[in-house]
Parts: sequence; C-alpha cells; structure tokens
Amino acid sequence: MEGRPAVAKGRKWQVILSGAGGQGLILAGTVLGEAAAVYGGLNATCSQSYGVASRGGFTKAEVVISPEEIPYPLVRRPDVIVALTQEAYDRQVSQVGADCLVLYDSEAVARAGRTPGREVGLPLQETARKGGSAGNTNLVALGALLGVTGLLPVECLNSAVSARFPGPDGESRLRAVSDGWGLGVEVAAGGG
Amino acid sequence: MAARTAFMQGNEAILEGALHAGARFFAGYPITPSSEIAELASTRLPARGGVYLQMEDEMASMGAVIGASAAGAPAFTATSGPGFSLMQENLGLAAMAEVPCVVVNVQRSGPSTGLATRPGQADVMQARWGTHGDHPSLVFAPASAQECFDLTVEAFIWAERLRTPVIGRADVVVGHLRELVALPDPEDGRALASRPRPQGPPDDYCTYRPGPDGVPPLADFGSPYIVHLNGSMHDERGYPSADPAQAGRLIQRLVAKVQARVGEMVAVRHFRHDPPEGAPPRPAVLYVAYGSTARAAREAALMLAEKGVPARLLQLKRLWPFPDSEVEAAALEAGLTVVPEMNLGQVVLEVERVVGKRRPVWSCAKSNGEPITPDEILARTLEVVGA
Repeated sequence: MEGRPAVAKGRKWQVILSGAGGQGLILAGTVLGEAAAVYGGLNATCSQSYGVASRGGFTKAEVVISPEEIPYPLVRRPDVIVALTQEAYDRQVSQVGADCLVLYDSEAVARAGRTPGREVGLPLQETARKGGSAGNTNLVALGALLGVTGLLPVECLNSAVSARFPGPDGESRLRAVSDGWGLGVEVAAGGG
Repeated sequence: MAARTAFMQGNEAILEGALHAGARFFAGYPITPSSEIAELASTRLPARGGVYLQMEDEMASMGAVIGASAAGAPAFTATSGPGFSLMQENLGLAAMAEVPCVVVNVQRSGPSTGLATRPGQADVMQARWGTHGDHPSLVFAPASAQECFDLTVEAFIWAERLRTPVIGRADVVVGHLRELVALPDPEDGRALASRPRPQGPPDDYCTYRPGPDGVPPLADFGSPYIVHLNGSMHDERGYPSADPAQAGRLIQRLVAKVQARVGEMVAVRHFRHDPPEGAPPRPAVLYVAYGSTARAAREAALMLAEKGVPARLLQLKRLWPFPDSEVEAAALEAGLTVVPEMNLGQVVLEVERVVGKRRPVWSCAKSNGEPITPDEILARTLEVVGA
C-alpha cells in the first residue's frame, strides 16, 4: 500500500480495551485491529465480550497484534489493559501480571495503583471533552496507547480512522487521536 | 486472487460469503450472537435486488426461506441456539421436500436462553439429529473470519447442488472475531451455487425423479413446470405414498445423495508441530477440534511441541457427514487423541466410534460459557500423557 509507514517487525502485543457499553470500545478495538492489519501489514485479531445489557455494562475488546500468524485469537496474558471505568479496572486487577501495563482514565478510575506492574493514569475523557466531544474518549485512549507503548506507528491509526470516518466529523476524530498520542508520548519521554 | 481484503467480523464474512454465492433471500428473527448477519442482510440484499424479510419468529423464518427457495431464489437464515431449536421442524421439511437452503447457527451457551452472549459448541448433535427421522445432514464449522466466508460459499454450493438444507455452524468467538478476510472478485461467484433444473417438456416433469447423481432437478414455483413439494412420504411425482418399498428407497436416496459427494467437499485441515531438533522421539498427540476451539488447540499444539511432544491438529471444517476416514488416519498415526470442545463431550463420541479401541481417546470438555483456552488444553494433555 502506498505511503504505508514502516512497521517494526517486532513482538506480539495482547491488548485489552475495557470500560462500559456505549464508550465505543469495540469500535476502538476494530479501528486498532484495522490499523495494524490493513495499514500496518501485521496480523491482527479483535474480539469482543459483553453482557446481555450492553449499554453501561462492563465491556471489553481484545486485540492481538503480531508479525506472525495468530493461532489463538483471544488475549491469554495481556501486555496492556486500557481501563476507562472503575469497574473495568476492578474486574481485571486480579488478572494483571507484573509485566502488564495498565493505562487508565484518571478521572473515572479513582482507586488505582493496585496492580503489580506499571500504571499510567491520563485525563483521557477530559482531553476528549476539551477537543469537542466526550464520545471521542475511545480514540484519545487509542492515541495514548500508541504514544505510551509505540506498538504501532500513529500514522497507521490515522489512516484507519480517516477510512472509517470519511464524513465531516473525521477531523475531530483525528484530533482526538493526535491529542491522546501527545499525552502518551509525553509519558514515554518522561519515563512515565 | 483476492479482489480486496477487509478487516471484518466472522458474521460479516458469513453475509459476504452468502452474497458471493448468489443468495437472494433472507428471512430471519435477529438473535444474539448472529444479529449482525440479519442487520447486514437487511441493507445489502435489497440493494442488489434481493429480499430481506424479518419474520415473527424462527419457525416462520424457516418457512419463508423454504418458500423463497422453492420459487427459485438461493435462500438463507441465521440464528442461534433457541432459534435453531424452533427451526428444526421446517428443517426436516426442507430435507424431506428437498428444498435447498442454508441455515447459519452462531452457537451460544445453552440450553434454553442460557448465556446469550457467551460461547458454546453444544449444538453438534442437534445439528445432526435435531429434526426427527432419518435424514441427511451437512454441517460446516468455521474457525476464522476467512473460513466464515469460504464455508458459507461451500454451504450454498452444496445446498443448491444436492437440493438439501446445509447448516453453517459458527460459535460466538468466531462470529464476533474480526480478522483480515480476502474477498474474491464478485464475478468469480457467478453461478457458483446452482441447482439442477429440469430441461425436458413440462408435461414429463416429476418433482422427485432423481438424476444420475440421485438429485432430482427442481423447477421453480411459477414456472411452466408443475411442482409438488411434499413433506409426507411421496412418490416421484410428489404424491403421498405409503408404499414401504417407496419409503425405503426415498430415505436411502436422501442420505446417499449427500454421502456420495463427501469426497468433493471441504473436510479437514492438518497442522503438524514437531519438537525442536534433537528431542528424543515420542509418540505424537493428536488434537481433533473445530470452530474457535481449533484455534486454542493449535496454540496448545505449539506449546506441547516446545515441551518435546510432537503435536498434530486435525481441524474439522465439516462436522457432518463426519470425516471418518480423515479422523481415523490421523488418530492411528498418533499415540493418543485429545478432543477439546465447548460442551460436555459430543464430537469425542464420534472420534471414539471411528478409532475404537485401537488408540486412547480423551475428552477435554468445558461447558460454562467461557471459551476453552490453550493452557487448559495443554494441562489436560499433560495429564493424559503423564508428562
């Protein structure tokens, strides 16, 4: 594909995007998977898990990204968990290993710091609101995820977002990605 | 050659496969976790001159599918456990009256309402024996989004060619899994799924006079041919008949027309994972798995090989008719067989039937609404090999 950014043929990433139904987490997982598979030339799977009452209930999307074929498509041991609600954080505390990064929304998750590994709290919702729409928190989170971990060039994500939102609100969504990425890069630069 | 690739959900790929194969009619009653198929069908089918009908329930859905197919349109529906149960009566009608159709069952955890959004694979025997009486059963089980596309096309091909219902049997994990899918040029799909139609003069036509392959040509309702579709035991004209010889011949033919063609159908996929070089020789472990569980078994096989045990996976893409000879050959080559599945042990019974006492066969069963994991399969395997 023309203009495809060079993707480091690196490691396998297992990512969980979690929060509440209605926050667009499955959409975020789809966009991340698309960014990796369609625009990054990697293999990717995205699966979803939700209860019978979707809106407001605990929801998660699991994304696996790998330069190799992905036999088992679900997350076995997460490398990163993004938590947008306190419930999402609480539910997963016990499954988090010492080498798993937890990236959480500092406004929604008040009781953090309970996992054995590295945790990063960022004002994801606030950043989305300031950018014009709290509905873009999912995209701010994706941008931040890439900024902190470098698991994929942000250009891949931009391409996936542009392709999925070709309409007039595409601009605001790209800005949400960029704002989130900025937050993440700052953390990465500062050693977080 | 793929015309395009897209990152899409298994359910979406099922719809794409149906459209590629030439589906023109969908009737259904949306149900988790198959609803995306109905949702997409509701816009995509009318856009290409087809019909989408939302029915009052699954019994009616199956009736509408049979009616549309009898009128000449390749037709399908999609459902999950509770809906699949309601479809059983008319599924039998489709088998007996020999009306081609495709029924997609995206399995969830049951019985009854069960766990509506959680995975299960406990409808294996229902897909075989859910409708009453002796009848043919043709069932495909995808393990990836790509296979959702490929096996849906396969399902339509055989439904139309053999004048029989075919069941596509996914599970929640695969139906909701998004992966890259290669979609062929739509032109390649033209006439893929085509049923035998009568060529001779309408006066000579009998709805159930079989061709050389055991399949009677099917005229469309509304054509100059007179069609008698009948769910009662019938003669070649479709008229009711209680003649035992006639009844025996008909039942035999219904089953034989499918069985005779299994050699041409998709059946299995083999994976081999050997230990690192220099490891002492050991008998291999064979996994027989299907649907999303095959993906977990593949990962378990990789881990097992790393531990020095040669591991094989026989992924069943076709569940019914059961791929006896493929399973037998693979099982006899291995030291023992482990059958992981998200139910209390259904396919393991078939594997035991095929393998008999010649090799040990172990079940690795899980039925609680959670997907079976590679670690669970590995743990069970180490337990039975005594490693």
